[in-house]
Amino acid sequence: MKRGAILRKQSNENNRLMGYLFLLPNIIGFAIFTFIPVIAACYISFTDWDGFGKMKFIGFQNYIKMFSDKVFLVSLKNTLVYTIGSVIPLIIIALLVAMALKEGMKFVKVFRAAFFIPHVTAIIAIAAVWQLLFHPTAGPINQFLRSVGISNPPSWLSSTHWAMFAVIIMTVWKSVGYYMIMFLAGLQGIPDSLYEAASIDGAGKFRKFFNVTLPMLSPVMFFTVIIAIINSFKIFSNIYALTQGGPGYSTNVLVYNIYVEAFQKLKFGYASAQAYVLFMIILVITLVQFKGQKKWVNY
Amino acid sequence: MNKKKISIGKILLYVFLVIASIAMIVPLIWMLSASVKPETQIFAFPIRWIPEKFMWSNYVKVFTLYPFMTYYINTIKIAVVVTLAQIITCSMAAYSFSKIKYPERDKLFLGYLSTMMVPFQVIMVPQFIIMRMLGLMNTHTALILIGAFAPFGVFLFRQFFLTLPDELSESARIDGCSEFGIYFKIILPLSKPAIGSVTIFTFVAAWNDFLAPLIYINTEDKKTLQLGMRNFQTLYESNYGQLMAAAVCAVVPTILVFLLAQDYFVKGIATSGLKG
Amino acid sequence: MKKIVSSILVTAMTASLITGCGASNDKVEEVKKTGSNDQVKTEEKVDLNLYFRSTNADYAQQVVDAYEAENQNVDIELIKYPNTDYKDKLMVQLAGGGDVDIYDAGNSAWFGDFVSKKQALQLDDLIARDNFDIAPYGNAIEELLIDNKLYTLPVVDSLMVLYYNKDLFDQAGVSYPTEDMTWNEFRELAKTMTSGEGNDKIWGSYIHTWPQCWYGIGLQEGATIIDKDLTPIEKALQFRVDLEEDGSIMPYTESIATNAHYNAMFQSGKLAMSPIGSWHIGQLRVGEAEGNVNFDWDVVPMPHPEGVSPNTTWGMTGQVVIQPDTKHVEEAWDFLKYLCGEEGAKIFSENGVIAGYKTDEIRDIYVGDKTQKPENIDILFNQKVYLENPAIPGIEVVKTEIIDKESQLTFAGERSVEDTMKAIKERIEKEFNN
Repeated sequence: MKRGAILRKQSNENNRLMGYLFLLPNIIGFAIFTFIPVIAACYISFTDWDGFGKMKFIGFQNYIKMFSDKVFLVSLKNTLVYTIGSVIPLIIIALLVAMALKEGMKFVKVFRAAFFIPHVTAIIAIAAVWQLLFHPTAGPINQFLRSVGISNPPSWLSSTHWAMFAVIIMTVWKSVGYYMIMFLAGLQGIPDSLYEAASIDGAGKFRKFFNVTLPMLSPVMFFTVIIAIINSFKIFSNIYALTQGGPGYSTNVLVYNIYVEAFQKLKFGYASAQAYVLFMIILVITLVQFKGQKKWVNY
Repeated sequence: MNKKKISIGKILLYVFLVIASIAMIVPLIWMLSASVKPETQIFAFPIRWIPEKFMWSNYVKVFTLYPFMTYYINTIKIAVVVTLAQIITCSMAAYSFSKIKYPERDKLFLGYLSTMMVPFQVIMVPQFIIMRMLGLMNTHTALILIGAFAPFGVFLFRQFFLTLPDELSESARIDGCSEFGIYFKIILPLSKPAIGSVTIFTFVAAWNDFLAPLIYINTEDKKTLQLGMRNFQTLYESNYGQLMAAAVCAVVPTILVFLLAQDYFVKGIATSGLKG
Repeated sequence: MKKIVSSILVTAMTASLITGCGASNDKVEEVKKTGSNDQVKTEEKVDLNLYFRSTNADYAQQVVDAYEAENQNVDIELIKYPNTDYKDKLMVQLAGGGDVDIYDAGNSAWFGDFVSKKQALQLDDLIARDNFDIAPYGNAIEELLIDNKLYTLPVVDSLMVLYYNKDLFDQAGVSYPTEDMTWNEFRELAKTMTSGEGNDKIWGSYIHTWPQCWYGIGLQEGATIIDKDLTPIEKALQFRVDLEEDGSIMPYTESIATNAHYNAMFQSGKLAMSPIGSWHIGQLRVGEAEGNVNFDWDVVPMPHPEGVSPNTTWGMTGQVVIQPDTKHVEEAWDFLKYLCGEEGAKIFSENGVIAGYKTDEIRDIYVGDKTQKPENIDILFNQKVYLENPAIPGIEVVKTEIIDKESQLTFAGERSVEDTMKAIKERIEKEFNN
């Protein structure tokens, strides 16, 4: 066909030139201010740099040291627990809220704003409030729990067993609005005609959700899950503001540990190595997702 | 009958949403309440949501003790410029990563994306050295350059562009449209929800950014709101009343931007006009 | 193409990182060569920057203004940030080779770290050359020597004293704390003064959540946190736990949960005794001026352990340092002498901050005309002060990462004092002696 022939004529060279041209504005800035520092940090991870003196190349020593470092291992575990514990509720709740707050509902802008406000509020204020809410004796949460018969409610931020759980609760509450927006954008891209067609076929709410919404939403879902995982692995300011890694090390997460190693213990080399281990973990998870997208993401 | 069932379901939904929304804004209410209370009452139990007396002096202090207006203007300037820069450069890059075909495209994208996985804390110092070499210390330019080229925006736009059928751009190419024309006249207008999202996320991220301004800004006249707010929380003082007043002032523009960007969240006309 | 360009850039960058990042003490050599009275101070315009923590930055600014008035050719930019932010920012500036001429090196622990990383100019030769009198700094100089060399001058310091609310004692009919109390006597007093419930609760005392607020008690016996034998520190930890059990201080976990602060608590009039630093005097005076403090209060020396003489306490020095890579060593040194010397000390003292430079005249300025509280302000000048942290590199981490974090488990009720101390000892062994 004529069309096919024309398409085939478009050479890769032409495309590549165009492709790079479009990339240019973003890539130049990115290369200078992000890419180079990232590479430099990778190099630093193989040195014993303390931030000041000379950088001495020490090969894989930092990486080996990590795996007998109890604090690092605890941080790794905490980060995994945190990620699994927060990403799953976040995605589910954000999706449900987005679906409830579709266009056309009364006061929809107000509701959406209400859900979004926690995300934009200064973390320092949020941490202060949640500290009060989680107060073991006088806080509203435990008072409520006692009133429904739980005589020994958890001491939340004062307990090494419950602190992480408390952090997760605060995170989910804070970030629901953020992920809600992504789902809203995705939902808007689903044509009504698909739902109408499904109705005609006799589909009820659940069928519509599983057969129309989810598949059509899969590109956004893909994006959201990856972003949520990356953000969770990189969590820092929530911990910094609420628990500073404590009590003890129960909420010490990887990036907080990296911050302490670099800026307090002056071990930039070791900190960078930890950062790259974190990077590897996220990269592997993301690659798996990218490979897997053919199976479940419809474009 | 059907009508009755729908109403009850909807009423329950509304009730639930109202309760959930209140839960969401509880901290904001607490902040508002704390911002007008004297220091000793802020953390007293039981929590008193409506204070006895309204101490507006905290707000006055916020604006007089420090050049808060200056911080405000600085932050607005940076956030707006970064947002615009991201919308333009990220959508262009995303267009390349999704609508133009060249063999190494997807690998390049993954490499690009993977830089998001490195925590800022370890790239801070090398990045600082570069900025210093470029003579950009204590400038807003430095902050803008850091914020304007984030993989996040590219990822979001790309994901969205991928949902737009290739036939759209292909048929335009055949009709002789330039790449830029396709990007500008066809793809972008269909991407309103994506533009809206990127606007919100980027503006908020730039607005709330704290680490980069800390490192690059030295003088009071260039500081941003997030830095300014830290003034109220030093080692020997904890001025929560003033801090909350500052936080309330700081949160207002982001809510406004959010409300305004809502207009972009209208149903897309993505697949209309496409046949065969 | 992109790959080639970026690899060149990377190589260039990393090369400069490797070579450029060492601070050199070449400047000291230069100074030595210029001879004794050969002032190299030029008359051309000189720009210096001064990094200072925001706590006392306003007063430092006054010193800067006074200095600039006398030295028209020098322009000093004061860069200030609140505590932790300050350290992070300073670290990045120094690590990245940013322009830092003179900086507030924080508490003595930070100072030790900075010196070990060669971020401080050695001052011995300059002091000898100019015959700068360091006697007024007293003991502090000795405490700050590293390898017997002096890298700094103290600018301000603080010490722990015991504040008490006279009205509360009067109401309870209890005698005021005395100038010679043991910690056990303090404990009894705190129990006696604790009363009430809920909104009417009066606390006997309040120990702030910083670790030095409890381990300082061990320091009074002359111990340090990195001793082989940490018995005094263990006793201190046990003591805090005991006070909590007595119910006379707010539990640690509650302090954290409610962001409690000694200033707000004392000013609320619901706190009988508050052991905290001398800077609190300034805060209380501000409180009085604003009408928030409506009771009579005074200070006495900190209680002491059995067998330790009275007027023993712990505290901190603040010291200023010249960054070795500065382009203007002479000018920086001239300003440093001013800031930490007599002129600067006068300004700090006028503002109610104890200066590192101590002469009778300076003390009189600080004590003032006795129209302001506390009446007993003189005691601040006859205390033996142990430093919260000696100026040893790496000790800051012991305090914040080991002692603070491990003790939190005891305060959360999850581990005994004994086990916590074992954990602390182990970690110091492993991490600090590395």
